[in-house]
Amino acid sequence: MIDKILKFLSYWYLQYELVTCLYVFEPWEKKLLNGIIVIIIALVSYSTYAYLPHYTVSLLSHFNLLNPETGDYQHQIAHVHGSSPRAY
Amino acid sequence: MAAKGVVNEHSLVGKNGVSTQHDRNGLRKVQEFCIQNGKIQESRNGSTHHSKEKKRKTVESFEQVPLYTAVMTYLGFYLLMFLGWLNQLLFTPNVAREQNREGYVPLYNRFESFYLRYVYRRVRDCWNIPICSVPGAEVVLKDRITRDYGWTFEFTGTETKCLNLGSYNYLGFAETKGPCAEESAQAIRDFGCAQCSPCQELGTNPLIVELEKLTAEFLGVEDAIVFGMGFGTNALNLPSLLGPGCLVLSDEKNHASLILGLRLSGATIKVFKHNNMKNLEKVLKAAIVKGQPRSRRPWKKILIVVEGIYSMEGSIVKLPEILELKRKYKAYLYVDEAHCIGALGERGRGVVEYFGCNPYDVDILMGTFTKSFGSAGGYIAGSKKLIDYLRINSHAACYASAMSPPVAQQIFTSMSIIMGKDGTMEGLRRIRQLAYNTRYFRERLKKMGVIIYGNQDSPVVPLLVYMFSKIGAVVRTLKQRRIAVVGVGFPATPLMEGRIRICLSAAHTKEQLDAALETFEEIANTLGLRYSQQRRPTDPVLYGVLDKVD
Repeated sequence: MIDKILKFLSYWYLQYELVTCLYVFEPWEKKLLNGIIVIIIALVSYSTYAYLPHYTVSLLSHFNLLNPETGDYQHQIAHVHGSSPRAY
Repeated sequence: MAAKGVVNEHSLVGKNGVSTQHDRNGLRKVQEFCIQNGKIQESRNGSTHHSKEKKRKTVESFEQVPLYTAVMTYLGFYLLMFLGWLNQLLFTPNVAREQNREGYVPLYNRFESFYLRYVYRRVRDCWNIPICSVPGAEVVLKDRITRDYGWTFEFTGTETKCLNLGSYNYLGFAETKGPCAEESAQAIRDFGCAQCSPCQELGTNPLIVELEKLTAEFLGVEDAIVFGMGFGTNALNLPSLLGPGCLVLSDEKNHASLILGLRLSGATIKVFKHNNMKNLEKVLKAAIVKGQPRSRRPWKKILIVVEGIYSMEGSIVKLPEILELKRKYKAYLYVDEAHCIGALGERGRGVVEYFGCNPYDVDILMGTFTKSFGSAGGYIAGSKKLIDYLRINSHAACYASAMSPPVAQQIFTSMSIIMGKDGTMEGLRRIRQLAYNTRYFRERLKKMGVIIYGNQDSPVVPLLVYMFSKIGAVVRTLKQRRIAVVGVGFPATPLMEGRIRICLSAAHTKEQLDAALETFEEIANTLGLRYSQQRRPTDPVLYGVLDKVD
């Protein structure tokens, strides 16, 4: 079972290496490039985790696509009028 | 002879050219037959050629690259360039440096040395592998390893015997035993190892004279001249045929020797798209209308330069259309049959016989003896006037050393075998085997789903792998599996089209090809080579069938 998974992963890693030309690089270059790609993926996933939910909500409400639920609706009006709920 | 009053008809079939008598009901018909290689050909007007051109259906395929592959290939090259630049910045390369050269202009072209050091060097172990045996159907490669990623190599001392799919051995004449080898060894005893002189001085010996006569007979033209080097034949004879004020139309993918010869000659060169007759006509018309570059005078000479089989593409030139164009625009035609002489056609006479054209129509027939005859050297054949002119005015005849005797004898013997002059059917057997091998191998590869370029009859099979890393991976993996192939990348091919070039041979048996194809199937799975987006043929592939059986 573990063998099968390892085989599967090594097959796909070889394909990845061949397609991105990592196959011909020396080990330190491979580590460098893989490191850069891992850092980029890590940064992208962190920012997705941290900012995407809030951003999605505010984007949908900007286009008036959210259901009129209680809290969101108030939030929506406040957002549209550009003022806080206490203003009126 | 006569039985019950009826006269039987019988024919006496004799040797070459002897007329036979055909008795039928008292009428005697005299027909001339010519027997070569067991094939009986009618002789008409002294020449045994059909003047009617066969309508050949060309089955060629040049599939387009899938978009994803093209994008990733370019990205891979960008990555290679970036890392090469990084390497150049951080480390000094392991190459010889010049001393006391501050302020001097660099000796080498910057991009070329960059490419060589940081891109090519990484997979350099796939090329220049020394061989330790004759490159027949199997070849012995000398193993070497590199400890510093391609800068230096060390020999391990071991050798690997591999199936040879990389040598130009189309008819299998690269042998150490057999009539060719014995007669070449005898030629060394008779004539020595070298001529030590150009042809115009003391370099012509009976072997070369006989060889030239035999070459002319082989091709069906009046006369031929042979040279010691195939590349040199092109590069040194084109300057003597052309000069400034001549127009040359050369195919896009012509060989480096043709390009060098054309540039040396000083003629005006116009390039037309590969094997594209409409483009050729358009360029030809425009150039004729415009005339010479500044004076606008009519051109002194117009020459169309093409090759028979293009070795990097596997495509065969469209000879009948070119001959039509040539007659229409009064141009001369130069066909470089380096890869197709001996390999195409029913009797191995090259692309002219393949299409059923008359060899007198092609003005200059050029070819090399390296590929199908198992030797070295080149020839030019045509009318006697042309060859007499070349004997006097060619640079190669005047300055290049003449062909060495064992080399000439090898060509003579192999050509006699191909023509059937040794009395056996060996030549025809080899030509047939090459044809069967070619069709079978190509059909099986197409069925596998890999992209191969070229005509279905060309023994050169370029297998497209596109990506630079895959060229290295495939060559290395195949070498591990005991198959020797040649990988080709930039600058020999366009940047995006890296390929593996397979050369089939009459020396390969069906079993060897089957084993190789199984290996290719496994590699296509593990390395991802199945790029073809067309439907794969499902009918079983038969060996020994040259035309599709309906």
